[in-house]
Amino acid sequence: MARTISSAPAQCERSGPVSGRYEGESTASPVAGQERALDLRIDIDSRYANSAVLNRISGDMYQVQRIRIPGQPARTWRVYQESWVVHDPQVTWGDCHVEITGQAEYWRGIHPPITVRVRIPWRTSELVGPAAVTLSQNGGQAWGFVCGRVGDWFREMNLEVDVCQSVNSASLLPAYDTHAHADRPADTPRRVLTVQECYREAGVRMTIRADRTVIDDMDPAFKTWSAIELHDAMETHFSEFRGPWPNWEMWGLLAGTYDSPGVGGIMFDAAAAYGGAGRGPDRQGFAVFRNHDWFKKLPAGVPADQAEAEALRKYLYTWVHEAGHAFNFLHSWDKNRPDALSWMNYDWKYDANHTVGSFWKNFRMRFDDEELIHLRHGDRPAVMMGGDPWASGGHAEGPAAAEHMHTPPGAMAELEGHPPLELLLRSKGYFEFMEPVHIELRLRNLLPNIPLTLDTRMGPEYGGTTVYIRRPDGRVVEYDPILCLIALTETQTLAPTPADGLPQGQDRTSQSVFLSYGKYGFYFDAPGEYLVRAVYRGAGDVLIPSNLLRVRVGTPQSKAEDRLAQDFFSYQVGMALYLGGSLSPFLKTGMDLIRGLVDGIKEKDSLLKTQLSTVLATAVSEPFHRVQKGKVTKVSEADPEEALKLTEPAVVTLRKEKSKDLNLAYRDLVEQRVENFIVLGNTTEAKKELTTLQKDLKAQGANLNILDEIKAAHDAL
Amino acid sequence: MATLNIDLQEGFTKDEIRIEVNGREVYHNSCATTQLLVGLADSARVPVPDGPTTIKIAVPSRGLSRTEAIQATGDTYLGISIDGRGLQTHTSGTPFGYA
Repeated sequence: MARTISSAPAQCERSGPVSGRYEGESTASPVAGQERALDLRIDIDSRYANSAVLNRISGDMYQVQRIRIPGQPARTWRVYQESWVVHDPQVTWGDCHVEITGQAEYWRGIHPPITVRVRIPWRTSELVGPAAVTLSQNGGQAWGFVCGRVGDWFREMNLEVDVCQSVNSASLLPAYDTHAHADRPADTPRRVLTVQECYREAGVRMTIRADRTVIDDMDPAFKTWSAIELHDAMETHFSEFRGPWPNWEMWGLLAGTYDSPGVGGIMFDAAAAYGGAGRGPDRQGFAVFRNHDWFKKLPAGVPADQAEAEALRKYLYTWVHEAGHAFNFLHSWDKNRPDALSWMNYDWKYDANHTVGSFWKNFRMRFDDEELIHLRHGDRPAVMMGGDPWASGGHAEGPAAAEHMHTPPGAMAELEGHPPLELLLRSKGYFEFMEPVHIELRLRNLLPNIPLTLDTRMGPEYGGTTVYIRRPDGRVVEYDPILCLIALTETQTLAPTPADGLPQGQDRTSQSVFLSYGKYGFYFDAPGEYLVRAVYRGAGDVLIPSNLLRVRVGTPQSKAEDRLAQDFFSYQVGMALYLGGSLSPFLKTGMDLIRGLVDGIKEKDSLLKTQLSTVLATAVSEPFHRVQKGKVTKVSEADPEEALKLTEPAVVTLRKEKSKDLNLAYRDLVEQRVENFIVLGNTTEAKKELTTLQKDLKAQGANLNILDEIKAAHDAL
Repeated sequence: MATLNIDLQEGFTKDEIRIEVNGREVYHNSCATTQLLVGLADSARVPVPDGPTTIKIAVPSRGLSRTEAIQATGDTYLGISIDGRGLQTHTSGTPFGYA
């Protein structure tokens, strides 16, 4: 609803629309010391030709972090928090300003009622704004922001277009005169539509990257593309693929022919169950197939006849449609809107419900209003490429029965800017079915001149690090440890980033974190691809999201192994693994099952066997005590000989693997064995194993400080 | 000879489908599933004699069946879907196309 107070005086003639994108940082905070940033979208008046006004405002909230370094500019970074929207706000137009108020609806989590107030002033011959924004709870303490107007769009992203050599000819990208074909609404405004222009009208400023790779697909044996091959091509050729995700980056490939020749384009980056490549994160790329029948008459320039105009129009449609899928749009009929005149409908499907040719006679070359709400004002991770999986809440954000697909707050906390720290997750890429999953968390100081003293306890048990896991079914869950540990801060000083050419290593610290089992059971109990992200908070004074780590869990190797899974994925085994082995009689069943598995695996190089035998060895490396008759009593002695026997094959396997991703596990195991050797008084063997470890890690390119630490341990014996 | 181009479109979820043309089984799929990304489960091309043609479609897993009579000539396109009303067919003189 909108009201106008009076006509504008001469000093307040507005030079353009109010609607568009605004950005700014907090000027008032209800929490002392906290800073936030706001990306604000105002959609209350006509901001661009041929573009609907949706009467909404929305925002993305970020936590702003900065450190001040003497003599240097402050390092600032921001971490995404959450998004909200105000539907149908109260809009009051004044002479020299507009006031917009309404209730914020958050897409995720539970929030108290939050009132949003926006005041946007203008003056003659000056830019509109800045917007003064407050978010308050029941008129109480408020966040205040001042946001400058950035432009007349709501979102901004890049599209990288690559092309296969076999179809690398003129008209790579469409440019369609809306009057070129006679079948159109009579009052269609004449304009030339490109992919960018279609999205600009929709509210997205799309930039097509200048660099274009030509992919050689000329092998005569190669005929058609599968979804997996397209994903593979994207991994190889998309310049932004290795970057952080989610991201406002998209990849489009002009290719020859798809496996199903009826398919003119596909957004292949979705779950395999939907016909996609099944390799998350989703919605990074799509392909258009130039050899499809639709494009046989595609002209190199201006269409000479209606058939060429039809082909060009369909070509534009396909590009816009596939990019639409990457913004998380489903087809119109899958959203129960089969009669939508939208880029996301099929012309022949619409015609089947109406009359032949009626789609194009009525289509106004746009997305429908519901789609525009998603595109402009939807939940950021649900819109952003590489965010929520395709079709999870796709476009409607919160469809009924999709609650299980919701992402916990924080899981999408990707980082923008220049943080002082890097949190890197790494592990081997493949875990055998039932193999315990350990991930290395590495903190690295990114400051060139300043050492950083940090709490380096990275286990989720200490509360300073949170780990999120996206399971193969698309659900994102937060890893919840069994134990919560309260302990004194363990600080470590990380040296500044060394200059090029100087030895690396003192600027980082690593820890291996067990993630297989937690409060809610097993987290990696199904074969398939998992994505893992962590957020480091340390002592609560920083917020550093990690990279997104992909790991794959293999399938059972036999029927027997598949059957065994029922017993393996149990409390008894889970707890035994979590505790790193236990002689508690309460976990005897689990330990017996682990022992049975170790004995049953015949493959000498099995990493499952390696990990499980390490668990058994840990259990016997120390004496075990129980409370009996109210008194702590030793019930079993340490058995270092048994521990060494159990881990002998494991150390051989890890040595042979020669994988950098296993360096930490290899070192941890050798250190455990060295302790056993020391207890037995066999320092010769202990030294020998440390010498071999040092040699092996050196060959793997381990940093000098790690090799020095091993040498020091050797020399101390 | 004409060519009958069959597309299994919306609504299939691990369904068995059998198609007979003029009393002869020309297509059998024991596990047809629509791919949400494009709205297509499977396609098949079947040569049929020109002229009146009877097509019987059965989806035993849903207890659905339907018989269609068409005039086959040149390339004929038959789209088959399952929705709340049952088994739906849609014929066209041009390919459907998916994106």
